[in-house]
Amino acid sequence: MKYCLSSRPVFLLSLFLSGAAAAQVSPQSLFYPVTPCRAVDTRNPNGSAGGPILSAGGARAFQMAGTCGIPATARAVVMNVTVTGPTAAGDLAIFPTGTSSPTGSTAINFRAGQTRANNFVARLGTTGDIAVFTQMASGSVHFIIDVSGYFEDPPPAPISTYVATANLTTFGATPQLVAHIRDVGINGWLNEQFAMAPNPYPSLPLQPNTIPNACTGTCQRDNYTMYPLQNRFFLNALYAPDQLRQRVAWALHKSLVISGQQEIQPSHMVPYLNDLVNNAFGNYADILFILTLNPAMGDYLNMRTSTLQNPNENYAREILQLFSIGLVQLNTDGTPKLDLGGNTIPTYSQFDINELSRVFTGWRLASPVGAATDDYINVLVQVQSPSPDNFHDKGKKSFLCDWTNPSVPVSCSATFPANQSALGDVSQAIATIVAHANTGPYVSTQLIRNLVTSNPSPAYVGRVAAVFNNNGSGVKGDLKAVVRAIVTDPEAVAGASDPNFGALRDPIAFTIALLRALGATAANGVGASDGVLATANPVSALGQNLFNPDTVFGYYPADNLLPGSATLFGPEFGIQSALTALRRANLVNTLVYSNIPTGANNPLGTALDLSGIATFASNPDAMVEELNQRLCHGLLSASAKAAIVTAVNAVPASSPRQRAQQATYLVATSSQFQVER
Amino acid sequence: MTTRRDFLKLSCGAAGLAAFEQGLDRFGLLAHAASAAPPNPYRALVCIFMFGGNDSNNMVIPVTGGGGAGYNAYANSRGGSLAIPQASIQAFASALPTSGLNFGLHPAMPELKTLFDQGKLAVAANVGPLTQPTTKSQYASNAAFRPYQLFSHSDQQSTWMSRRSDVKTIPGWGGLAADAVAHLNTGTTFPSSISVAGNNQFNIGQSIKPLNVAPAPTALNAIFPLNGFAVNAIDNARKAAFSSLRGFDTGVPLVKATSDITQQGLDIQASLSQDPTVGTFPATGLGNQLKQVAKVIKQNQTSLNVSRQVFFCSIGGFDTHQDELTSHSNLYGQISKAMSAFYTEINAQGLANQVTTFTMSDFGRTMAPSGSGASVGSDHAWGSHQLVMGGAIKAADFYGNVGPNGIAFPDLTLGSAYDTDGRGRWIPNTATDQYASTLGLWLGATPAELNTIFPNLNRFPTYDLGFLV
Repeated sequence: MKYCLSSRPVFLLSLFLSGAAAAQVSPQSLFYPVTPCRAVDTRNPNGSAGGPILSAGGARAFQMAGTCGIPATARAVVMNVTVTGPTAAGDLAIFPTGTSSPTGSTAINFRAGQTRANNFVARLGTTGDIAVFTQMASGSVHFIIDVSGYFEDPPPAPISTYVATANLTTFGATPQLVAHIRDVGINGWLNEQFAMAPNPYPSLPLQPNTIPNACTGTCQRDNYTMYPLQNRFFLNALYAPDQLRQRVAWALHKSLVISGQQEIQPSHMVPYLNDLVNNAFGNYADILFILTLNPAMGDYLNMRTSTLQNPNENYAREILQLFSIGLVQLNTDGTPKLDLGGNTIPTYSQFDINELSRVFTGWRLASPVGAATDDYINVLVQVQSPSPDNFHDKGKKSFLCDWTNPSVPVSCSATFPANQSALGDVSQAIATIVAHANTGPYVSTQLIRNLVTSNPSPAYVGRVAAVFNNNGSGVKGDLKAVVRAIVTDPEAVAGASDPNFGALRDPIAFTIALLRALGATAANGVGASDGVLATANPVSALGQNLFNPDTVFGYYPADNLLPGSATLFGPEFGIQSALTALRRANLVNTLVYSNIPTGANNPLGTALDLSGIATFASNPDAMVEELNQRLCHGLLSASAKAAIVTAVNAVPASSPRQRAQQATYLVATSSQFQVER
Repeated sequence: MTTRRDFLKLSCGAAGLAAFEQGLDRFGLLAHAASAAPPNPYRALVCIFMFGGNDSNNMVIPVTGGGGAGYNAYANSRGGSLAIPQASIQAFASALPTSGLNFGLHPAMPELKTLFDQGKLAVAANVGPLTQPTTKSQYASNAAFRPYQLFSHSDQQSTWMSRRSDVKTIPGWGGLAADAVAHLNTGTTFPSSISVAGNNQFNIGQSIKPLNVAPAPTALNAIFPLNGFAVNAIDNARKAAFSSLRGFDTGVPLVKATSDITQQGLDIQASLSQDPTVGTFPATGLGNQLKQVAKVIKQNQTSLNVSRQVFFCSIGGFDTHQDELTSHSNLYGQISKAMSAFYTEINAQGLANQVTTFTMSDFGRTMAPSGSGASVGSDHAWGSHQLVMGGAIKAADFYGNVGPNGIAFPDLTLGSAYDTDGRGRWIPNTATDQYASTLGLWLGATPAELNTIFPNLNRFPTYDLGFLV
């Protein structure tokens, strides 16, 4: 059997988008003039654009599209309406066919015997025609319609544009979402998402610090592992409406790490995760302040035990290196500043770490020291007894200085006065860190890498960092403005036109994007998945254990180079290897050919919905193109599509599901899908 | 950024290396003609990286009092909260041959103590990144004496794995050493640079492509399965398309890299068709990694036929800012049991003299404790002690350059000539470059090649610390 690649298949994705509100004149409509042209004259012999004369109470329909150069896609026509020879007073109303005469549709009023004209903009019906209705007590009237132009929506952006936006702003495009973004526009979509209420993690009960002997099995799973939070994350990612917020919170988590490997109680992690969800569109300075006093962070990076006598450097170091300014001084566009010898310039020294460690002394959990169940809900408190002076270092501290002479630091960014409280010191520290020139480009680069592309141009980083530094109202660190700048930047929109654009989907993003694009159900195909995708199933084996990253450096090194390249970054490749690559293919095999079954930890299981793809079974070209649009933004090359079509044709057309499996396996395992572009 | 400068140096080095290889090849052929034995007997380096920064102050401990390298100085500096009681140290049977001092290992390391007593374990003392030999006053006053981003986890891990300490570079010295001895791996395409602990810089060379394999209990012949392909027309068609897809869109670097990685898995799949039996290993992360290394080494003797290999294993959890004593008992116990089991197995394979295992870590930790209450730990520091194990150990002793106190071990007094700032951050006696070059030399790289791999090597007293024969 021969298949013609040049034939134009009908896309389910496209069908979703067609026919939506065709008669609406959208705000984007543009005016196109035409050479003045007579479209209707009832004085002419009877015909579709001629007589007869319109009698009182009469109505006639006239086709506008296709007349006088008015295209079928016109939404409205600009016309001069002339009445002549009315036998009585009255008016003409002009409105789209298929609707009743709305108020305000009167085009012209007249008295008996008058000839007069008026300009009017007439909206067209769905088939490009208008209805003309006369309101007169009696008699009749002739009229002439001369057309001078029309309104038409600009050519719609390619569907792939909306797929790309959907991918940048959610955990993966779905046909419904793409249609919605096309309808409301990208800014409308962002505004909807910014306004949407947060979908938080439910609070969980604190458990004893030591796992009770009786707590085994599901007790341990639910109270001493990340299991309940992993499930919630996947359910949110698969189904929750506040997609952009959840996606930004996920991006923040990757850079502002607390790991369940150390904070093993999920109840301890909930405040942290909700801090990220609730502040995803908030201010970065607030996030740093909140996380500094978050009890799980206090434990993870040891601030809660750091004292005057034994300062702990861990939090001081990582808040600088990983959370805010990074190791080397940056230009606003994120490129490193270089000294005269061409070397990078450190942002801080060990002396600064020593000083900042002293700043962060004097905090403990809100629960009493030695409590059997520690308080990881309330924020850290300043140590008050036996004496706060034994815990918070109240001496003067100098921070971000020139330490050429260590005993006489000069040119400091901040000096913390003696006798300032622990809280006062923290507040001043956060303000100093956020004010640093590196914070904008450093945080912007992290967010762009986590949301859009591994290798943003310096210009892109510079544009986003400028918004980070000033949201237009003089505020630094406004993440709502930063996120908008990141996902609407020309470089993000132009996307794959740059061959270096994009990022390898990490294992979690890869799994969710596939399930969202085609639909995720319970294992039996009915209802929703249980969201158990991180525990006792293949996703963790792909090298990414959700909420359990190995270290504060996260799931993979942010500065990991693309294998085989000395210049391009590929952070997610830090956990991609021959081993995990084949495991990805095997996870696709599981989802496409069977499912994640129900089990002790999987109450409902998870399956991939292939029914939509199977409807294309009679047209393999269309099937592959549908998958190409849904999973790859239409970026699969013609030769790649042809190879897949050949494989689909090896399956008899009488087995639609098997054809869908054949095609879906190949597109979902392709490098072109694994790399989000 | 120094990548351009690096690249130029590497290019020159590569050209020189090629010329050198030709000469060595001729030599190899002559040797082969004169003897029936294989021209290239097997040798492997096995790295165990302790991620997080190992506080080796509590791994290698003085047992007796007296002096800055004695127990009293140790106990004073550690304070009551971090000092290991004198009586519980796993003391070596004899005083150290060179210094005559009495040392031992952490209480959780009896197996390694035994190996030391048997002459199969050595200590490289107070090793760390150095741009050049460095004194306390030089460190304090001159930035040229400070390695790139000291005290930062990511950068110090990178430095230990890389070829130099003064700037950030991309390749790892394990991969570069494997490159240098690649000419000895004739007649096989199986990778010579292998990780059982995920992707890392250590394995990356200029020309060889590292392989990442799963640790045990995954069987060696089950590491790279591709599920779901039966032998029938439909699956064959899918397999054909699956394979051909990796040839498309190669102009997009991210897509090409993804395809190359998948292809490597499929290529290796065919080589690993068996799962050799090895001895008992502890069912820990490190135990399972070393078990898989032992299997690859065993399989290599029958089918893979690689002559020189480097392996990378790791164990995490050493960032002990808190709860250090509890963590160490667990971690050191795992290391001791796993390394000992590995030695036993390799010895049983008859390869004890041909496989050398060694440790690395981000950095040492402050001698002075950090934190309060029951959860005391220590902070990021600099020089640290490393363990080297194998039948090729020259003698159980401490190795390294002699420091200000006249021995290859720091003065543990806070504020001593070794201490950067009074918290016990030891300025290393010995550079990572020297430690790595000693191992690379044993693997088969020549001094000339080592000087190319480690461009700063000639700033230090010797390229061979002498712990291997």
